[in-house]
Amino acid sequence: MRARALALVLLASGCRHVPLDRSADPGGSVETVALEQVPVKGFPAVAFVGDDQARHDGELMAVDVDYLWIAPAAGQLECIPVGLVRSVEIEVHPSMVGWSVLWSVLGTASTLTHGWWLIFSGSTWVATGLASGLTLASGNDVVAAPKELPRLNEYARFPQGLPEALRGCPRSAPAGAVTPAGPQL
Amino acid sequence: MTVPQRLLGPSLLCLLAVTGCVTLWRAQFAKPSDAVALDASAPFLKAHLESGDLYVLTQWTIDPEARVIRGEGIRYDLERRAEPRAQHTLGFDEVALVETNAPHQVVKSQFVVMGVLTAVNVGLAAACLSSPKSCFGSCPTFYATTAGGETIVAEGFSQAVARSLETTDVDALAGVEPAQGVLHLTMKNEALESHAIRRLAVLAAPRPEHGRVYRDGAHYFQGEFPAAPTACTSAAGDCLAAVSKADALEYHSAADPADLATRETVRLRFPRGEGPRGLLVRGRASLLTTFVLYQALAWMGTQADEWLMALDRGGPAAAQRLAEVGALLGDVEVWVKTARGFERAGRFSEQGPISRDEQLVRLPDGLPAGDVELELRLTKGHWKLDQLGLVALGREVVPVALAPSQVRRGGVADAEALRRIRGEGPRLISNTGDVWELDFPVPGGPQDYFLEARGYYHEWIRGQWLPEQDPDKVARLFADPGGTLRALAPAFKQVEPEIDRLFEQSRIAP
Repeated sequence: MRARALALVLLASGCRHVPLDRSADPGGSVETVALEQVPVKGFPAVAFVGDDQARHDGELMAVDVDYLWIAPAAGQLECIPVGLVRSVEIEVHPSMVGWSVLWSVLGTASTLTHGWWLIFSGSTWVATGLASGLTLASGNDVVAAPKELPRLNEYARFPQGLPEALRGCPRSAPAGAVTPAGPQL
Repeated sequence: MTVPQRLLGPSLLCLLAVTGCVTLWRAQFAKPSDAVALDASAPFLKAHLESGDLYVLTQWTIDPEARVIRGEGIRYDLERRAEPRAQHTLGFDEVALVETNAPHQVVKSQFVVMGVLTAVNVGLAAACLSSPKSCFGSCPTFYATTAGGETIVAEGFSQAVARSLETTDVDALAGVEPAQGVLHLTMKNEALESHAIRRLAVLAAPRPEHGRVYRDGAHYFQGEFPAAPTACTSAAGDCLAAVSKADALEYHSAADPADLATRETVRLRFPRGEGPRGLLVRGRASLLTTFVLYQALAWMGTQADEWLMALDRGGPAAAQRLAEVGALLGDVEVWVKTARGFERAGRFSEQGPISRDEQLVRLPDGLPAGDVELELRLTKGHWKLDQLGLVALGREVVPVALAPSQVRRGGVADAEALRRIRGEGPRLISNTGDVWELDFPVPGGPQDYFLEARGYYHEWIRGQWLPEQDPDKVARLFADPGGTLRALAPAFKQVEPEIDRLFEQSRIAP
C-alpha cells in the first residue's frame, strides 16, 4: 500500500510541466544579465507528428495557423502542417537531471560512512534522488496539445510570424506533408 | 561550532548555485501601440520586425505620443548575427511585435530538498565524527503514558555490555498508572545496539494511602512522601533548589579536568523525625560512563567481538575485571552522621544516562539528636541528581511479579516474543529500530510499579571509532583503570559541554 502511494506521488510529481503562459511570474528573483546574454533564438522543441508520432527536433522558429516551423540542428527549415501535430514539447531550461543523479549518487555513497545508519539515510537518499530525477526530467518543459499550438509563438524565434524571406511552404498546408521550407539557419 | 558545521552553509550555497539555479525568462508580448501596458520594470525589451530582424534594448522607453521606442541595444538580423551596440529609435510602424524580458533566477525545489538532506548528512557525520563517543546508546528504553504524555520511564541493564555481564535491573516506574487493569509499556531499541532480553516483569506493591512504595535493593518499603532537605551544599555552592523536588532541575557537577575518577561531596541536612528513615535518591548517570565504554570499544576496534567473547569465556571473573573499571567511577555513596562520626549507609546505583531511577537508602536507627546530616560521596561529573528526600518508612512489603500477557510488534501479537520475554525460551533479540508493545495485567487497588529487566546487550562498533583501535590501550585499561581515567580526562572535558546535545541528536527514533 505504501509502495503504491509512493509510486502515485512520484508519478503525479513527475507529470508536472512548466505552464504555457510566459507572462506568469516564475518566482525567484530578477537577476542581472548582460545585454549580450539575452537569448535571441527560439526554444528547443520536439514536435510529435502524425499517427506514428514521428519526432521532429530543432529550434522553434515560428507558429501560424497553417504551419509549425522548426529548424533542425542540421538541414533545412521544416514546415509542419499544424493539423498533423499531435503535441509539442518545448525545453524551457536545462533539466539538470545529470546534476541530480550525480548529487544523489554521491549522497547515497556518503551514507556508507554512517555505519548502520545507512539503513535509514541510504534509503532516504535513494527515494529523494528518484523523486528529484523524475520531477526534474519533466519539470523543465512546456507540453502543448494541438489546440494550444498558436500560443507557442511566445517560444519561437519569430513570435510575429515567419518572415517572408524564409517562407518556402505553400500558403495552405497539404495533408500529410512535412516540407523542407527554406534556408538552413 | 565545529569546522564542518562552519563550512556547511557556504558549501550548500555553492552546491545550490552550481546545480540548483536556473534562469527563467518571463516575457510579455504586445503590439507596439499597446506596449504601454507592458511591465516597464523589465530590464529588456525586444522589438521584432516583420523582416525577422530583432532589436534587444535595455534602458528602454516607449513614447506613445511620438509612437516610437527608444533604447540602447543590439540589432540582430534574421540569422541572429549581431551588430555593434548602439542607441536606437524605432517607429511603431517598423515593429511587428514587442516583447519584454525579465530573467528570474529560480532555485529548483528538488535541489533544495537534496540540500537539506545533505545538511542532515553532514550534520550527522560531523556530530559523530567530532565526538564519536557521544552517539546515542541506551539499552532497551521503556516508555509509558503518564500525566505528562508518553515519557521514558525506564532503561534496562545499562551496565550489561557482554553476555557474561547479564544482569537483572529494577527501575521504579514513577507516575505510571494502568488503564482498565492493564499496565502498558513500549520497549524500544533506539541505538546502534543489539539487545538480548532474557525476561521482563512488572513488580507491583500495594501503595499506602498517604505515600508510596520505595525500593532499597531487594527490599520494598511503604513510606510517606519524601521531605525536602533544608540545606544542600557542594563545592560548586548551594544545590538545594536542584534536589528539592522531582522536576527537570538536576544537580550535576563538571568532571575533573585531570582525573575522571576525582570525587566530591554533597552535604545534606534534614529535620529529624521519629521512626525509621531512608533517603530517597532520584537520579541518573551522566554520559561519563558511556564515554569511557565507547572509548574502550573504539580501542578494541575490529577486535571488539573477540574481546567481548573472551570476556564471556572468562566468565564472572573476567566480567569482574571489567566491572572494576566501572567501580572506579563508582556509585553515589550515602553517608550519615552517627554518634561515631559519618558512617556509610548505602548507595544509589544506576548506570543509565536517560531515564531517572528512584532508590531508597535506609538510614540506621539511633541517629544523634538534632538534624539528620548526610553526605553523598560521588565522582565529579558522573551523576545527575534530581531529587533527594527524607522518607518516613512504614512496613516492608513484598511485590508481586507480573509477566506480560501480550507482546505486539507493529500492532500484531507476537506469541514467540511473548514466550521469550516471559523467560520461557531463548532470549528475545531486539535490534536497532525495533519497537515492542507490552501489556501487563495488574491487580486491583492502588499499586506502585517497578520494572524488572534481565538481559545484556552488544554495542555496534561504529566505523568512526576504528581509527582509534589500539590493543595496548585496552590492555592498559584493564591493568591500570585509574591511569586510563586520568589519561582520558582531557578528551572528555573537550566534549563535556556538548555531549548531552550530541547524544540526543544521534538518537534513532523508531
